[in-house]
Amino acid sequence: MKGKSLVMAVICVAVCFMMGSPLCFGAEPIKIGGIFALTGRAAHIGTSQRDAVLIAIDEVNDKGGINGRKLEMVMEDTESNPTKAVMALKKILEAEDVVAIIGPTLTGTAMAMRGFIEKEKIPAFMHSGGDVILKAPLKKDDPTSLPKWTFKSPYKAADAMGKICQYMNKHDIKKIGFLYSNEGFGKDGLRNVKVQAPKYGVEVVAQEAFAPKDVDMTAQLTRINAKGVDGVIAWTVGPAMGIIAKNVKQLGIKAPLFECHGAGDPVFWKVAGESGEGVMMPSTKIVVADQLPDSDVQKKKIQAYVKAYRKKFEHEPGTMVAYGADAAFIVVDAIKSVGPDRAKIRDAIENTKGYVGMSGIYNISPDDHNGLSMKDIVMIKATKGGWKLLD
Amino acid sequence: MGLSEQIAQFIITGLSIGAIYAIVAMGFNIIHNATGVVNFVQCEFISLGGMFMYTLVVLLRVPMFISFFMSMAAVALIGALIERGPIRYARSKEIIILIFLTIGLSGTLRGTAQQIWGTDNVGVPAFSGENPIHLPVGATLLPQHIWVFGVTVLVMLALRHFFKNTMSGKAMRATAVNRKAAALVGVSVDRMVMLSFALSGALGAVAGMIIAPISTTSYDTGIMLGLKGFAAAILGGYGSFSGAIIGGIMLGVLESLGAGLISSQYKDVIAFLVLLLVLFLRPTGIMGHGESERV
Amino acid sequence: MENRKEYEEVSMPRSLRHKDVICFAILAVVITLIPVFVESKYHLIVLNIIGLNTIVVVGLNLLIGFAGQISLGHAAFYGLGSYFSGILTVNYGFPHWPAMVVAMVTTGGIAYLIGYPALKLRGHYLVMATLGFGIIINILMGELEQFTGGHDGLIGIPPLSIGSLTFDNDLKSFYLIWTFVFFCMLAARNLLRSRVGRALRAIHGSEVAANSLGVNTASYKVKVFVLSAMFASVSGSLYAHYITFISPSTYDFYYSIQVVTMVIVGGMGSLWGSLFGAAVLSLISEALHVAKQYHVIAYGVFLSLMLIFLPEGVLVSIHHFYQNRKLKKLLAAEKGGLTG
Repeated sequence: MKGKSLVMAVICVAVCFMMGSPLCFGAEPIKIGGIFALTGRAAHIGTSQRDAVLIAIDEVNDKGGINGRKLEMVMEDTESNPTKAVMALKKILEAEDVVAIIGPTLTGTAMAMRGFIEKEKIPAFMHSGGDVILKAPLKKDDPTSLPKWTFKSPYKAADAMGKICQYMNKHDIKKIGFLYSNEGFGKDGLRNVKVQAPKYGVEVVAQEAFAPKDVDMTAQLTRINAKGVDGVIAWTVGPAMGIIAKNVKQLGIKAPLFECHGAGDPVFWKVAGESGEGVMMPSTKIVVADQLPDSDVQKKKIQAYVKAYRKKFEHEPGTMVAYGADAAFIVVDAIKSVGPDRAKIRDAIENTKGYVGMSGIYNISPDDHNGLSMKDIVMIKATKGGWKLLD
Repeated sequence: MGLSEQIAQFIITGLSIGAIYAIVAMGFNIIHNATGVVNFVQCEFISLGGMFMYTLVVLLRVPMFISFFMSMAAVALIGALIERGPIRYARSKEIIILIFLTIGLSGTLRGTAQQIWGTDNVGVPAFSGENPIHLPVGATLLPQHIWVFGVTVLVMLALRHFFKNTMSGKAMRATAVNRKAAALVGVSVDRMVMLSFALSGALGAVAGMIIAPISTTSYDTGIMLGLKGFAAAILGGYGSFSGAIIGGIMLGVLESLGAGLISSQYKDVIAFLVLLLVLFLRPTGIMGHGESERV
Repeated sequence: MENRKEYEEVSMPRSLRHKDVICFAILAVVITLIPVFVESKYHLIVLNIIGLNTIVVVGLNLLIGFAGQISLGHAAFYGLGSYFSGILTVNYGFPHWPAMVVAMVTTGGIAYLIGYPALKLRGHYLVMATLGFGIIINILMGELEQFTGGHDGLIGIPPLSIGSLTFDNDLKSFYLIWTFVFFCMLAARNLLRSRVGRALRAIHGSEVAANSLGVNTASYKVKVFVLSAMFASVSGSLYAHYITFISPSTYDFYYSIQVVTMVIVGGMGSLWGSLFGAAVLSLISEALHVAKQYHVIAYGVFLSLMLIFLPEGVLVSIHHFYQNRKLKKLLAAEKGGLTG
């Protein structure tokens, strides 16, 4: 008797728990999928993007969620591997009723997932830097077959490069050397600099590559320096950002060093140390929020977000945090306005106009699935462990 | 800047990276001689050395000198534990099984390190300042590079002394030559194998620590350095000490000259092609002897 | 230990003949029936990846388990298969089946060129040579942009088709890939039971002895190396047409290590172990994702434990366990007979 009643009690509690949970916490949560490189070679980028998205989701939920329903992110790890990324995508789509995807981190994984995203018809806001995910047609022989369901939140690498070249033009830098990491991101930069530099009267007189995990780039820099350049651009994210800054100081290269739009991150100071002083780079406004003029429409929003970020993670946000946050907020806004329906969300994202985000003002259109422009990018200079906004 | 100055710079750079490869190669060799195994945990020894150093110097503000030896001891201990635990209890003593066991262990350690320290690279302050030194040949280097050369030479001399003049060193050499015979004359083979793991742990840590101020460090810096160190050991002749030095320096200089004079895009291709060519011409590496297989 | 091995080698062809037939029949039935129970696309893609890995592992096991040569460069052959198939169909409009054959033959040729000098190397030197070769090929995939699409990858590879049947979803690809698995395993088994198989086993046992008995060990080693490269190439082609996108990071040296690990966990020299190893490790690495950020540690621990406690591979260990029991019973019976 005793045993039976105990079993009954347990069953009752279990049933109550299962049925009760949606009642206690409001309606069933709305789910989005988050696919990031949490391990493997891009883990350092993927984990910070994940944090950025988590903050945004917390913010939405603290304000009561979406029409009374909580927002929940189902997370998967790509292990920085294209095959695993596709598997992660299918896993999320099967296991959960997700309405949109945020991520992945690497351009290679994004390219692998793209075809399946179009097939499954689910909107995906990607974080990868390479423009190729939007520009490359899905079918090789049909240049109009551009992705419909794929968006990307980081501004176009071409614009970031343009910003640097514009700055060089203004400050009379004419001959430059280009140093890039020999993988997707660096190669993308190489293509961009060849297009952007001539536009601003800048000539690329030397181009050198290095492997992302190399520990020394003095050989490449020596070669660049021998060409008598008056500016150096280094296009890489990760430890090489710091090693290059150190090598430039070591070799006594006088030409100013510019780095890519991913360098404006606390990690930069960790890897570069004192040698980081004076390095310039394009960035989102998130790292220089307090220096923005009060007239800047993004200022208040960015400051509030930075405050929340500092509170949760106890360190300063980097430039890439902005991309993660924007992707999350735009998707959330879309869900708010049209409800949890994949096709409607896609249309809503595509119609995002004048959205004031962390990275800039998004004007997304069928022709432009990114929506940022060069105006949203600022040039910053690494000074005393922080960042200084350049005009 | 003239070509000769450039070449001088390439060689200086190559030598300093090559010195690191040489130390790592030495670590591979010591364990190979004791057990015949390629110990891929060597990669993790390098990362751990750097990360311990970072934790002690930057986070806990322990003086550099003390931190250096503390990290070395800590990684040596981890090395010994790896031998005392998984390697010794492995039911098969077949070389290939043990090699892949070290790959499994290396994954475990790397995953743990990622959980402890996160994924970001971090810098470690240089041992003595960062003011570049200009050499008369036109090349520049950092004080840390001098440390790299100095420590490498010291390590090599210490190892030489250890293997030539100490009882343990001689016992280890005896174990390497013939385990059974060594056991018969009273050498505790088990202890020697454990000692070799501790020793190569210490070597890996040293490599990780002296390069950390130059290249920064993270939970996975050791993978590439470890791989290149293995290549250097093979190039020089697996198991040969002078080979480790020659292989390491050759690989370092080759990479640097390849990047500087031929093509920075293809520098790794050049380095590995030369490695393959050397192996095809001299199947036991530059300094290797006939007997290369203990399988 | 030694005795058991001998016993197996001598008796395998005859006593296992009908067992093998039964195993293949079971495999065929399982392959046909799996999609009845598995509907999830995710589970199907996992099964498909297992199938692709199995083909590589079966080939590699011929090399490692039977010829006793270790290669850490098979990601290169897998990749060459993918890239030749992809480049020929996308850039040059080749029909896909002939492209796959061309890929296989060319990869075999490249394997011959590298294998001929490399297989003269022994032990760790061979490991390094293949590793180096794999790294060179991996870098070239990224550098030869005009052909390979560089690091952005090669897009728009068409799915395979027979007549009007296009293998463009996970289910259809499942049948395609696993048909290949079936026939690759059958081919490997037949090879092992032939003269070649006996020669290979002899080489593994003792190269010197085999040589002195008139087996041209060098030539056999190169041949089996080429064959295993061709297996990898076929698998790579299938991968390219299945995922329809390829990029260099799929073919880095981690993949080479992964497939050799599968050979070892499955059991060196065990044909069915290859299938088992590929399945166990692929499934575990997916299943351990429930451990969230700890999955890397969990996988490392799992792999280490397997190698510490089941060094001969899962399948072989189980097999031996039963054989030991049988042997003990037999011995006990014999003892009983003697005393009685």
